[in-house]
Amino acid sequence: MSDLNRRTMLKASGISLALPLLGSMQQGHASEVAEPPSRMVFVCTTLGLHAPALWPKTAGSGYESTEYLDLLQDHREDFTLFSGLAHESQSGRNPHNCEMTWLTAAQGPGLDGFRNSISVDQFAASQIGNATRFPSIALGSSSPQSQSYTSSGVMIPAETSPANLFAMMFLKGNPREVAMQKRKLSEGVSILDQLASQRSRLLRSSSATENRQIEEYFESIRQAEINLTESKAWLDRPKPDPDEQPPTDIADRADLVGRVQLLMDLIPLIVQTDATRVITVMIQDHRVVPKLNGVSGEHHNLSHHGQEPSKIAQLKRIESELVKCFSGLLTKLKSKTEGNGKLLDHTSVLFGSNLGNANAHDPSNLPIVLAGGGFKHGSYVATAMQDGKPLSNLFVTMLQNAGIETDRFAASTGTLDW
Amino acid sequence: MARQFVRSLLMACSLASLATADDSLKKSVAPLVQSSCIDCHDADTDTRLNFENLSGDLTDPAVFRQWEQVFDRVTTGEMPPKSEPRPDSTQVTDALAKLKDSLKAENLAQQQAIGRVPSRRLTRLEYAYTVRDLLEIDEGGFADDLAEMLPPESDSGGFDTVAATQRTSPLHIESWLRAADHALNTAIKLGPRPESTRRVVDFPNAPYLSTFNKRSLTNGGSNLKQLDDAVAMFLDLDYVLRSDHCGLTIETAGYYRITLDAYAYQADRPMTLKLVQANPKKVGANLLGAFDLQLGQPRTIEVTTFMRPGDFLYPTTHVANGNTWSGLSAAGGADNYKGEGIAVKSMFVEGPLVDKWPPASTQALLSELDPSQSSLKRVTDVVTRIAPRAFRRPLHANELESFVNLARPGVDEGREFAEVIRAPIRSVLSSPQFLFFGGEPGELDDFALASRLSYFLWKSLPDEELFELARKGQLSDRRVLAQQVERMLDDPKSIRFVRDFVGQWLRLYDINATTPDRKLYPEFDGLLSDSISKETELFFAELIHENLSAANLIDSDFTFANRRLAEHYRLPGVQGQEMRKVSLPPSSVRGGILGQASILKLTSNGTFTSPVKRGAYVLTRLLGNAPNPPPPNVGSIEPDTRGATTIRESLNKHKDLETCAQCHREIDPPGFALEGFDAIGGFRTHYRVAGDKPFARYKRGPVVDASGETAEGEEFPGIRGYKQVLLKHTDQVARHLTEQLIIYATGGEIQFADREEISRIVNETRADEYPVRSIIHQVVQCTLMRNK
Repeated sequence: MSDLNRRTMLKASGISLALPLLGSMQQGHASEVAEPPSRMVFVCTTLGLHAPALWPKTAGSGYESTEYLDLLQDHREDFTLFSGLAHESQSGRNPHNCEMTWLTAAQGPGLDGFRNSISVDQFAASQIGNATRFPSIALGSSSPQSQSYTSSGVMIPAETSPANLFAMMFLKGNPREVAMQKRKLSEGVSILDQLASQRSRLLRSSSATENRQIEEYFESIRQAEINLTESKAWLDRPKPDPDEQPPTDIADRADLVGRVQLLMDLIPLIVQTDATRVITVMIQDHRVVPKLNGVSGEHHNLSHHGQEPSKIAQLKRIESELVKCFSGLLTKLKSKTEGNGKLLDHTSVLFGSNLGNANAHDPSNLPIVLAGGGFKHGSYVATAMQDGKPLSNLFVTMLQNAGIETDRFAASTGTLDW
Repeated sequence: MARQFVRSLLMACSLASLATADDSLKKSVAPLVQSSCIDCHDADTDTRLNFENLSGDLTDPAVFRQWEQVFDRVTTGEMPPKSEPRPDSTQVTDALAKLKDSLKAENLAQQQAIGRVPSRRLTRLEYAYTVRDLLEIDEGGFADDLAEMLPPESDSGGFDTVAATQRTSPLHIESWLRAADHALNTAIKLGPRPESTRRVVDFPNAPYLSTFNKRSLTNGGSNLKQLDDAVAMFLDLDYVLRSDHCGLTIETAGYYRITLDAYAYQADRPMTLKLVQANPKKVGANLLGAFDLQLGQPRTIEVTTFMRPGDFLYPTTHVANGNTWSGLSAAGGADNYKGEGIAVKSMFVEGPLVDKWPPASTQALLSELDPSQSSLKRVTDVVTRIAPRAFRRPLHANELESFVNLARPGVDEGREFAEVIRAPIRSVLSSPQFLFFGGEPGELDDFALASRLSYFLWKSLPDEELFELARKGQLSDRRVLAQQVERMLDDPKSIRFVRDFVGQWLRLYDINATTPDRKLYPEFDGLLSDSISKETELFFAELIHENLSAANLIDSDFTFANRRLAEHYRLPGVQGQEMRKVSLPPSSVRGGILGQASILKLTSNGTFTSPVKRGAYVLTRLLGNAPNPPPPNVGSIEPDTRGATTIRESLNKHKDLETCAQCHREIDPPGFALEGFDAIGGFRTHYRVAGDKPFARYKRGPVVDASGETAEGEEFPGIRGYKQVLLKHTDQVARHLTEQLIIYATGGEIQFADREEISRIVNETRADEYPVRSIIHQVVQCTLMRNK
């Protein structure tokens, strides 16, 4: 269904879209018919990647492969590895708090008065998200925690069930269910409409400083009303046929790799059917011993290996499997075609972690791999650590690559070019 | 209108007075600034303070903050630095007095004009409890599930009640709509009264026995032994004696009474049986209870729990002996095994237990309606009944009209009454009147006071007694208010406050953020994990209920424990797995929150303990003196547990560099004192070092040194000595607790003008050694609580 129809429908329902930037953007796309849309995927493994197994000794395109990079050998010309990137002031209340800020770059996570800011995926979704059934999709391997945050710093819960997401994207409900859903959404819209009418009553009796809270509430009401109306409109649009069987969820949290694999398998499907153009995946601490040969410790405890060789060996076992999942994702994105090329050509995939040296749970010198998206790849880019290159610069580069007109994100100082 | 006029007048006055205060402030501190400050803090300064361009306009928040810092640093003697000549003491006194007056006057003027705290909204926990209480929903776990449907509160390092850090997003709105829908589904039950039955779960003839148990031990079998009247189990397993595998299916949600006969089998010490409830669709399981079985004393266990369709139950053993598996293996399975175990007989499950039908929640919404009236009139009646309680105040004129009108489309379509009532109620539960606290600047009216009090101590809306006192205008009476505080603290609902306050203040909510390393801490088990957070909650509740001194937070001669926790603490003579108050011997290292395993665990990462992390915790959470975060780009210390160097040795680097030492001379000592406790709160004299091979047990590592010297130069040999030092700072701990309670209850951080009121509370409770219940009374009565 074309964008125009949707917009017309919104107007007809009496709701004006206050997203002017987006309008012109979408028209821009519409005129270049043959060009597939740009997508962005962010994958974070939150317990780091063991540095000695990842980084080559020399930079540039002739780098000598390493243990982990061997696993990505098939894709050597399709990705770039970075070192020396980080966000500023990430020492939080506890070292895992930087999970919250990997995509937002907000400083001092979890410290007194901390307030998160919009994550790069949500910023992208605000620009290119309205063309698809889902403005963005956040996936998590174990819990609803995600790294996607709204502009007011509220976390968007992650979907942990591949089967659920598959159903939402592709399965058609029976007519009764659809009618029921539609009625619920209509009821929701009229409730929000009525609540919006409380505004003048409330503002009359509130003092000036209260207005931030109350205004934020009514602004949220307005936006939620748009969201519900859009959801309702999508109910009438046929869902695409994925040409694949629905996945079966894995209940066992010890099957870390199986669960991550299921999430990774969804990504090419999402991309191909244009369900969304912005995806985040958070590979979380499952807090159980992963079911893998030779692994007897929990992922988190192994990441605090204290230089013990047996722990490092087990940690590398787990991380190798995760890198293989990423490699598998690239393989699929390369094997599926669209237009004149591969899915990967228009899909930038960022894979990395919020922790650098995980033994010390240190949030600097992060492992970052960027694949696809039509970038020039094939090298290891070692940015000098003392330069303190913000990871946000890479985000800006990715945003621009996706056709989003911005020259900054969070604490960026420019773009990252290599 | 009149009110608004007065407010603008107040604003105008404060502005006018400040225009002159601006000059006079700068004039009165000028002598001190000129003599002692300006050399470093002029236009050429490297610091953030430049007196040459610092205005005296305190209405500017940034300017206010700078002068507040000047006041604090000079007051504590931190400035001018010790290396500089001392300023003239009268100059200092005069400047401080003037500064204090100006800061306080400006702060008070603002508080009076716009209120000390902006309106805050219900936290997600408050939302859930409120909906539960408002709709009178009596289902176990309902509030927790409802809270889970809402976005988590943003982590701002402090309390989630603080208005300034609360956010609202479209995601919240959509979640509120969904949560209200779920609440109504739960509240309205129109079917026939469910039939209660008593069903038997025949464990001695569990299908598992004749199938999987025939397999070998390594294939998941051979772990149960069939006895004449019972079945004996030896391992902690979740798949062998499941009620659903024995034919019990739960079709109807409700409360069920479970009875189970069990006895210790082949044991020469008490055995612990665990009864667990779980659901295949949910991660994790709910431990209904742990029960000690004494030798030769069969026991009937009885538990009542709320069960939902699909839920199942299983009994299992708490295995206190790491050799059971190898023993079973050597014996070729359970049949010939001679080791300790638990024998269980049949289990009886009776329910759903229904004392009222339809349930109170349905009656509250739908009963006492006149069927001869039109649907719309009945909707009006229901909404008029619910809304004043939901809004926690009398209604304004015509306030409900638009809510009621939401029922019109349904009425016009001729839908059932139970259907058409939903949209208005969903709207009430998503409305700003419900979600936000009202109140005008100045003294709170009785309704606003009732709300603030009720959300402080119950995390929910006021009950009928509080509403009635508010209606009569009596709640603000000091004596009445004190009686209500007594009543509310004695009410079981006050446990919500204890849990949430301790969960956030002491960060007990983080207790399960990490799991201890199994090789280093093989003794850590589910029962211990369950007991340690209960200890801290019960301990704080005891300080309230017995009105005990806040000094107990530092050191106490009692704690709470069951047999499992007592073993962990090496306390003799505690029988049974129920948590109860136990006295500590004078030589105990326990006592106070710093000796509690929960605190020691949550300040570790599951593998190592870090004195820095623990030290910062003591300063922040107990003393209210949070250290600055480390400067950017400072390396963190990389742990090495191979045994060559201890964390403590690595930390010696802090002493060598003055930039590090500045903060770490404060942070590290409390952390050193706590080195005597490992990552699960066990007492240790030696570190544990991991074995070389993947499955090897830990080895004994270097000796622990828990001695240290505080920044003030007081030496201590270990935790007991450190607590003695800390006890000299009881005043500071009591002050911090008071501040935390005020922030939590009012939803506003402590401001400059609030300091005197806090000092007053600390002073007035000093003679009685800061009893905690009295402090809560003082907090409720203080002006910060009673003004917006």
